Amino acid sequence: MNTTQPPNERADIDLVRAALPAPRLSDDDLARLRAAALRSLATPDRNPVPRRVVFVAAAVAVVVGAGATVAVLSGGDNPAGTAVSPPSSQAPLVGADASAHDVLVTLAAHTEGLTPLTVRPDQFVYSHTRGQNVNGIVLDDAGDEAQVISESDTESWFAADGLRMVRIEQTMNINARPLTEQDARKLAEHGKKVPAQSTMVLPDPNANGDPKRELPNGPTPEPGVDNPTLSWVAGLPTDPEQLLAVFRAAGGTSTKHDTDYLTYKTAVSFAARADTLLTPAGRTALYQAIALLPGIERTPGQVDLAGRAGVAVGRTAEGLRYEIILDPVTSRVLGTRMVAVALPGVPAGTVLTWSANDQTVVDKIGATS
Amino acid sequence: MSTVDISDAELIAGDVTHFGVLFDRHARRLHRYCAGRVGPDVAEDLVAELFYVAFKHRDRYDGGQRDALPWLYGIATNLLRRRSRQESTRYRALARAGLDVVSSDDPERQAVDRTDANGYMRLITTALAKMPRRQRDVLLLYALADLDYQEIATALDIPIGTVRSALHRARKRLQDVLPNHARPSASRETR
Repeated sequence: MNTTQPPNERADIDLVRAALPAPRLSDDDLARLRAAALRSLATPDRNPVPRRVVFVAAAVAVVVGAGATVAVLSGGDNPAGTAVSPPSSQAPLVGADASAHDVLVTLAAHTEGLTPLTVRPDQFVYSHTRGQNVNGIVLDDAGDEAQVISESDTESWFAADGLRMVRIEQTMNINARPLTEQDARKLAEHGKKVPAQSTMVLPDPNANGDPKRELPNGPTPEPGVDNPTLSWVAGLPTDPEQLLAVFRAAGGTSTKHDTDYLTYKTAVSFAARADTLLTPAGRTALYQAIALLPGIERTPGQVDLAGRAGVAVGRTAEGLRYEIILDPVTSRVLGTRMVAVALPGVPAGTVLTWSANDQTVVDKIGATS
Repeated sequence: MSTVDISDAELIAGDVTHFGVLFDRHARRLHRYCAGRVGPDVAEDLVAELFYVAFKHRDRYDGGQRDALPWLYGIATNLLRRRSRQESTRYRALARAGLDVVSSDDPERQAVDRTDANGYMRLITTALAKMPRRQRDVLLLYALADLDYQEIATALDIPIGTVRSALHRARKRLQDVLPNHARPSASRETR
């Protein structure tokens, strides 16, 4: 650094600096520039930069999803030794060390390639949800339980409004096993087995009038945070603060959790449900809104979610960290996870539940593409 | 090991992810240098391009240099030579802006402006536009990039004596066009 001359000997140098002004790059511009630069490195045979750098987020392949929402089941832990597959040959927009705030702000700046689904009135929304969860099996009259972890696979078809389910095919208790060795001992001592895998199809073609084998015939739910639809999502504010107020109102209050956690969880659940419904501006506001909340943390490096590599941002409460998993290349939401941080008898870092949802538009019930 | 502990040389020997860390360390300063010379928009192109060039030619980096900034500034300066027309355009535009200030119709305003540093913009930018390329590169690596003589020598791959003489000549050109009170009190070089 050339700081050895007294100030009065640098008057001409100071004038040169003043004469050649350069605005400081904003964080958003820097993130955009970073993405453009690193993308060019990922394809080193092609110099992309003699022209003006214009970042275009990678288009999401087939699963630029619909509005329908499915009740997410799921559970299980991340299989040990599962390789984290790269999301694509493109470079991630965020570094391995980026903070939770930086992850959200950076991905919020790269949403232009993710346009919401378009559904004609005569079409259907196909939703495929994979996941795993933990269920307690009651062992005795005293209420002692053993925890069992299992996976699930759910395919659902919704009417074009995104609210009315018209068919569901759901397989439960896939690869069911005790959560811990202690749970395995408890099951053995009480002569209990893990639940068997089962598949349910509704409406059942062989229902013969049995209402339990038909889809529930209740009222169509109202659109909202829990039941987002294209039109409802399109009407949300694109100002992060105003959007956060929507989640605060929907999150309510609890004696168990603070308001910020409830707001965070509401926003993240909404993000997972509405991923395929969001306009670029809506997604930008959503990520920026989550970034405003205190206490969010980045899980270092990349995480695997159903074979997809993502970055995890989470918030901890009651010994559990609830995470949203984001694709660091496309900026879309890959899903959510619940990770044990400080639970009795459960090793820290154990992924207790996860879910990943893909949605697309199909022309008839039963079609998947 | 935190990335803070990793030297630039180690990052350059790494992969794309490591270059991302290198970008995070230096991109803002490199942009400031490029933006001063060709404006902020063209500077974005240049910064992206220079990291592309650096990655492509990372095998040419001297691993003994822990700080990569001089090397990166050198790449930026080479790329700027291809943008000489845009650089000249910027200097002319800044010179016109300075002239507009000084040529105000208001006599009082003219008097004030002439004593204001902004009034020297025209003189500085006109001098830069006329300056030989080597002198300008050295001067702006010194003034905008804040490199010292040895770092400039590394960036431009020239002897340190050449840096000294080029900077001396460049500053002499500035002093020749600036009024006395805007000149440095001495042009003695201390390194």
